[in-house]
Amino acid sequence: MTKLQRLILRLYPRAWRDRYVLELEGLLQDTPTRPGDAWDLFWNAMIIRFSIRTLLSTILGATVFLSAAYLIDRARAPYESHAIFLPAAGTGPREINQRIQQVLNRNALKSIIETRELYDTTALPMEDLVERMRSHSIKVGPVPQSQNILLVFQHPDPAKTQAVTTEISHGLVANWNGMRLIGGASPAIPASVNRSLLLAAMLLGCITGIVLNKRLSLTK
Amino acid sequence: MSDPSLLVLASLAAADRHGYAIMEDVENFAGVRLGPGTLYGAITRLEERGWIRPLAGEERRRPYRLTAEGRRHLQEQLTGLQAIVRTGLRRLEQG
Repeated sequence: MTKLQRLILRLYPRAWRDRYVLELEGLLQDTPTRPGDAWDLFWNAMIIRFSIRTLLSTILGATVFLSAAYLIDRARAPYESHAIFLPAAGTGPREINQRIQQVLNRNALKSIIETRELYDTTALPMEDLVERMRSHSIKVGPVPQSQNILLVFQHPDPAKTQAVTTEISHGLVANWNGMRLIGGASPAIPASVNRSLLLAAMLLGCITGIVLNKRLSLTK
Repeated sequence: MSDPSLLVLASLAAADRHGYAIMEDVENFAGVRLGPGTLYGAITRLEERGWIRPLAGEERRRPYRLTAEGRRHLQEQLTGLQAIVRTGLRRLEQG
């Protein structure tokens, strides 16, 4: 019997091991090890450990949580607008970052918030609104597998979303030859799905399904 | 036919056997090598259903015996299979 087989035997439920493990160990010691045996042991451990009911409750839990998270995500999803820039030859990431910092400075963002009436300025101090806008609503970074730079701005109002993206993108290229705006700001569309939220909801759903199934089994 | 439970029942129809002996017997009469996990998965299910029962013996080589209910179930299954085999062969001959 190999170390791997011994390890896999620990995956079987305790009650099952108490009853059968000595026999199975005896069998494994009596027979020569074959390549598929480890998988065979593992697969059957899973079948014995996770009954159809556990599997169904896990899938059900994941589906319910996933659907709820998707509906909440869609209901709360802001709009987003994009702008793409092509850096000029010789413009490195450092210059681009400096430019972004310069354009997205506190005063510039404060001015945009005030003139476009982006947020409820009575609800939070301006400093917090600027910080929230900078860290959550604006994303600027390189497009994967491309030289281009992507600007994304998110806001619940589609008209304001596109207008602010236009303003920031013009600001980024105004009086600077380091990069060029390709086209203009895209029309505002609902923001893409929050994958982290959906993944977390799915995992939580799986766990809830398993726990609930166990609880129901105990009270049965 | 490669349903592990049926193969185990068919093996025990001839004599009481422990796990290793069942594995060898099945390989001999059906040409199917049951993996250790598959064999004990089948033994677990068959024992739960009352179709086989363990006999007193060495813990590492515990023999199993087919129960009357298990024998009846095996009979039904094999009769069903026999009808399928007969029909299939007849149709092959006709075709």
